[in-house]
This record gives sequence, C-alpha cells and structure tokens, in this order.
Amino acid sequence: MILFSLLAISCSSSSSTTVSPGGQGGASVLYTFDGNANDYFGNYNAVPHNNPQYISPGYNGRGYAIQLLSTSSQYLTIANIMNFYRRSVTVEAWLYPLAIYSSNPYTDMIIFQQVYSNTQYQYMQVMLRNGYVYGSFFYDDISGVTVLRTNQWQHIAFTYDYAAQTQYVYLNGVLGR
Amino acid sequence: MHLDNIRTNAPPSLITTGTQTIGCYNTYSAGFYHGYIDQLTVLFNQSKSAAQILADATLVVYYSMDCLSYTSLDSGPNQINGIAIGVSAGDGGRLGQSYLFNSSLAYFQVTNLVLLGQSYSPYSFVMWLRPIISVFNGGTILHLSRYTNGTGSCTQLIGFNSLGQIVANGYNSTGLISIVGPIINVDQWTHIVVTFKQTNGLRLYINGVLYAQSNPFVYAASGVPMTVTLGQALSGFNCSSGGIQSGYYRGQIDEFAIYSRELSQADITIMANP
Repeated sequence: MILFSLLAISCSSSSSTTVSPGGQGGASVLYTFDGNANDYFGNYNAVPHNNPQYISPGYNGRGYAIQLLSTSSQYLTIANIMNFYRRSVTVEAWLYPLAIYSSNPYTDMIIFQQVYSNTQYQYMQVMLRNGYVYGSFFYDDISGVTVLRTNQWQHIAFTYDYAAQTQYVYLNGVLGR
Repeated sequence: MHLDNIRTNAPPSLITTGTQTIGCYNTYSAGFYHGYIDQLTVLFNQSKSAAQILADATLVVYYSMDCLSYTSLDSGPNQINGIAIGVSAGDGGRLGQSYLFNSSLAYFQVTNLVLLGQSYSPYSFVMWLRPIISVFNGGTILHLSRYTNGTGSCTQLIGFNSLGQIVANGYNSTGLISIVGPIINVDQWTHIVVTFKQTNGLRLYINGVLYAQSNPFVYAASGVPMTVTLGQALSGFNCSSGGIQSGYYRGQIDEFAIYSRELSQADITIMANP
C-alpha cells in the first residue's frame, strides 16, 4: 500500500488522533512492498531473492503487495538485526495465501524469522504452521485455532508482552482465533 | 507453557545476532510461504493491545471531516485519503467540523476499497447525518460502484426514499435486500450505522439503537476494488436503489468510517454517544 507523509495541517482533528503509518501505536519497521522491499523508515531494508514480483492491488487497493512463490523459492533477507532482546514486540501483516501447506506433524510457512541457533529463545518467528497463525521462541509457542483461507486477504498479528511474559496471536483482529 | 488457548507464557527472546528472513527458514531451502504479503510491520518494545490490533485489522478508513482546507485525511490505519469535491465546511459538526453537501456538484469519494469488493467480507458504515432541508425529495447518501463515475457493479447503499425514511440496501445474487428506517429529522444530528455479516444479514442502527434488520444472505460482491461516494450517485443515478430516490443529499456528514467487520451493539453504543 502507498503511504502519504503527513504535512503540517492548519486545522485540528476533532476526535481520535490521526493514526500514523503502521496502524494504532505505530511501527518500528514497515514493509509496504510498493515496488520494493525497503523499510518505510529506512533502517531495515530487505533484499529479495529469486526475483519475487510485486502485484497490485495490495490489500487496500493502492500500491502493491509482494508475491512470494514457494515454487520459485522466493524469499527476503534482512541484514540489520532487529533488537528483540528482553523486549516486548508486535508483528503484523496482511496475507493473501495462494496455498496453505500442512502435513503431519507440521509444515511451516514463514512470514518473519530471526534465528541465532537451534536453541531455546534463540528463535523468534511468526508463521503459518499447518495454516494456523503461529508465533514461537522455539518450544515456547503460541498457535491460533483457525486455518487461514486461500485467495483472501487476512490480517495476522503476533504480540509478546515482556512484562507479562506472554505471547498472543490474532487473526483478523480477534485474539486467539 | 500454555496458559489457555489464547496465551502462552514465555520468557523473552535472547537473540543478539543471527539471520533474518521473510518467506522461508534461515536455511533458505524450506519453510516457504506461498502468496502475497502486504504491510508487514514490526513494533519494538510494545505489545499492542487487543483493541489496537482489532483496529489495525478492521478499521478500513475513518474521516473526521475537519480539515476541508487541507485534504480529506484518513484518520484510520491505512492512509486512504478521500477526495472532497464541491463540499463546504459545515456549520460546525457533531464532533469538530463536518462537510456540508449543498449542491449538485458536491460529493466525497473513497477509491480502491478491496474488501468491499469481496463476497466473504463483512462490513460496517458509520456516520453522523444532519439534513438541512426536507428529506422528502429523497437523496443518495452512500453509493457503491466499481468506477469513480458511479457506474459499474453499482448500488445505492444508503439514502432516503420518497417518504423521507432512511433506507439501507445490500445485495445478493438475486437482487437487492432493503431495510427501511425512520424519517430523519432536519437540522438534527442523527447517528447512522449499517452493518453486514453473512450470518446476520443487514442491520440498521439509528442513534445507537437497532432499528431494522434483514434475514441472513450472501453478499454478491464484484470481486474488484470498489469506490464509495457520499452525497450522490454521480453517473450511477440509475443504479439499483431499492426504493432510494436518486438525488443529491443536502446536509452535513461527519465522522464517516468503514470497517471490515460487523460492528457489535457495544461498539455502536460507544460511537453513538461520544
């Protein structure tokens, strides 16, 4: 989607404040995927691999979304490490799956992953596992209960509250769905 | 440790270095996603609340209608700015300022609404209305169309019939579903909410109170991004109207919002009593 910078305005808003890019509460990193994989804020630009395409419309009809095809092994990498060390975090995305993969015990469709090693708490990942919204720190995991639909725009979210030491997942804005 | 079905107790991430990927495992050989991704956001140091996540997921657009001198800024999460043509600043608003529609040229338009073009999507429209002249001449308040001139897969979704009653329309594969509300008072602010969900049908709330509802039905959407026009139907005056008498709405509109969910009575009670 396309974002417009907010210029100085001479009249004030009557009710709730205008929401900044990234939605309620804002964002630290934002990929609008409007023809490139750059971070809107310029700090965590991603690099596409195996030539993913940008398709229009995105979920709100403006700009573009990125198309990642498993059949072409398309993915992105981000060099600059985001700091989740002993911190709260929120990850959100709009997804339009062209397929949902599942198997016994599971198949993962990674949305975002940060990994140091295959040990507990050295993973931070948000994904679809067998089609469910899934967040994980490696063994401490949270799963939704609804398989995402194919060929529909859907909103997913994973949050971690450091003070409460608690993970949450959302589908279409509904907790635990 | 799983606390219940919706929360897991977990110590934090302890990563300080490593690799980051979108769309696959850090081996780059498995765990592939397959589809489109848009608006991927990460927020450090904050676990957004359930209310914030709900707004991010389902508040499509929100216009306070205060800033006529500037652009029609979206106060929602998507920065979908509208366009205001021929409207003037209302004589005050229900909250802050409002837009006054008082000529055949006046309209407000929002384009590229993907979810309103999808049959699976529930929706809600919210606004304050204050007609300034008799409502017995009809008038189109909210028009849905594929094209910006008001035509193409078009339906007048909210408006007045010849009795001055407010009408809300939806449509399924066989035609229009209409529900009829009360006569809307001139020179008074009235809060209007229309909600749709397949399992509940169409509902019309007046000043926070459920006034009329339809049987459940399947929304037969166009499958393409849609345009919403406030104030008139433009070239779509012959589009299906379900009793709405095509014409120009003459009056004020304030705090217009579109949601991609069926708002609840609790949501609407809060909105109608600011």
